Amino acid sequence: MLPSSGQEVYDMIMREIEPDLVTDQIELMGEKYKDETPEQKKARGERYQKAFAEYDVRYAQYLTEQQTMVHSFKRNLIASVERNSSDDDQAKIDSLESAFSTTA
Amino acid sequence: MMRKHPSLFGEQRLLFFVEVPKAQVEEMKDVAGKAEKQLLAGLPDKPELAIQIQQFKIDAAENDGAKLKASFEAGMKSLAQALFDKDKASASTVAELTSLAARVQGKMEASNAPVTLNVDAVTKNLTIGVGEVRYLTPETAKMIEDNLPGCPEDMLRAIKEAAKEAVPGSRILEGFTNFSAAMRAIPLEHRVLALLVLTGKKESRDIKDTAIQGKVDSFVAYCKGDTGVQQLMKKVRGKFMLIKGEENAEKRKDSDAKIPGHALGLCKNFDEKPNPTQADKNLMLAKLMMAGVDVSNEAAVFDKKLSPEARFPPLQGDAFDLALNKAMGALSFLANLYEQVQGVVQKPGEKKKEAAAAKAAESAGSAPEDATVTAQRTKLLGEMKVAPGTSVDAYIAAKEGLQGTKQREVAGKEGDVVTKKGLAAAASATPADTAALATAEATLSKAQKELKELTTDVDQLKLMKTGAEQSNKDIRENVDALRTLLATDLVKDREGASALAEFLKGLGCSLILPVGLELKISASGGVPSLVNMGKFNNVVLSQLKKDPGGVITFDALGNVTSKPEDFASALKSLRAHYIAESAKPK
Repeated sequence: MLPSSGQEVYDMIMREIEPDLVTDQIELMGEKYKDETPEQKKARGERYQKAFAEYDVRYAQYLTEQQTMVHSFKRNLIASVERNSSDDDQAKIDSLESAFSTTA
Repeated sequence: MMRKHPSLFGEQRLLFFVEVPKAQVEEMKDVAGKAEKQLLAGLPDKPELAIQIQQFKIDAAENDGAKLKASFEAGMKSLAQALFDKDKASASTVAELTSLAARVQGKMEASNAPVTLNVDAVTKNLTIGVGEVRYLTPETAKMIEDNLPGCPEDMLRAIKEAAKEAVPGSRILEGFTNFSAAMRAIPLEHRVLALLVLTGKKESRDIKDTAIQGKVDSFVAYCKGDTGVQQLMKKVRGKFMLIKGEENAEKRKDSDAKIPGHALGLCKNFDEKPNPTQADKNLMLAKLMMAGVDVSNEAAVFDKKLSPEARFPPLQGDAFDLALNKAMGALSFLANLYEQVQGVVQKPGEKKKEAAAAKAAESAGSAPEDATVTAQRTKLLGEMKVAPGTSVDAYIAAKEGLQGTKQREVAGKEGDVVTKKGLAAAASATPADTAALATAEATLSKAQKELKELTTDVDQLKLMKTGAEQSNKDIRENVDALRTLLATDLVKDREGASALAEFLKGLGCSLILPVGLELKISASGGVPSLVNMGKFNNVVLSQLKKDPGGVITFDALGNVTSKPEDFASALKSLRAHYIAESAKPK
């Protein structure tokens, strides 16, 4: 599936870091950890803290890739249009020069 | 936030984010950042805070996705604008934009971008618009025409103009959709009548068939009760009035000058020609065709006793007919020009050859012989080929140099002969003096013969050069005239230009001539020829899927061996073929 929303982007990255923090798992958190001890809870909180820190790093990478892709796409499109335009003009000139060429 | 809205036709719409003031966004981001930090700090003790932190991350991704999407959109718009600026209103531009939009969508989906950009089917199919300029797609134009067969042309144009402004989601577009649906409920043959009643140009009570009257009344009642249709009709009415106003102005202009284009000016020069040839007449007819004159009565066109109105009646017909006539005129002009150039220059057996031979005969003192002149020209061209890089002028100068030397040599030998004649005639003359005179006379005769050959060569070279220069001049003038005609007449009006563009698209060629066209005089002093002019012929024939040479033929020298009328015939067939192709479902 293509990430068409912020939630999908978040889930796509977080799923590889901490499955507990994917959006569809959040609601299950209370039931899943109802019997944990205070120590376990603290450890889990610290794990989440590290997971979010890791998310920030990966998200920054992801965003850079996307921005690069957008810029590259725009550059390629512009180049393509310019090339087509130039080819069209050149083809017209070639055709006309040929049509009115002189021979010995 | 990104939202997906259904469009009128059920497809997903192209949506854009509503811009929030930048300062406000920065403030919100700052607050959110601080809040997120606080939550993250408390996370080890309260893992449930992850829910709120998660929401901050999602919001940030939404915001960044919107920026990426806007960046795509801006790029696409600027490209589209560039295309429009490059080639306004051409059908190929619209097609290119449609294709571009599809490519953008495909590229974005393939690129896994965190945004969804679906080009709305309505946007794609109804009109393509950039900035303030909107264009009707051929599919939509056809849809309108199919729904309104026989509709008065000005009314049809008004509806099309209004449809251009039917942006997705607008009441006009809704009205257009409802109007089309309601129109389809009327039998085909009565739709125009219904339209005329709706626009107040006819009364429904005048319809004798009560069944039809009922349908028309229902249609009119529905249209008058539907706000979308009302919006559309208001727009159509406005456009209609505008178009009628333009037409009236045009008619007023026409009444001042009932003769199309600059036909009078063209024919003034022609009428002053003492003995116009058929080739001259053909060229003039072609020019008049390009000017929009009906030249079907050729005799009348060249009858100086008739009034200009009778000689140059404007061609009647729709925009396509006019454009077709002009295009045919342009092609006939080229064919005739080509024929004339070839006839005058390439085939010296006629006028040029006679003039050259007469000149050669005058200077050489001998009877002109076609074969002699041809042989001499061949010899001269052969000599030039073995001296690559020699220009015509340099070669003539070299020959003149030799001629001067030979003249001096002849003068010297003439003096020598005179001296020796004196010696041979003296009383003391010996047989040796007589022999010396005979030798001197023979040497003089040989030198005189060589001088005569050189003189003929120089004269012939000068004639060849003059012929080539004249033909180049003729071509330049005719090409310039053609370019002017094309620029001022052929694509003068928008409808005509549009129809012509479609027509030429069907031909697969363009009649645009290059600016600053230069024709070179060939180094050999030979004749420039428009050898590729037959391409137009081949394009027409290939479009018709006919064997080249089946309708119009060019011989080995490039001479047109069929009549210009065949061009018209071929193009008429092409038009029918093109219309049939256009009507096929895509």
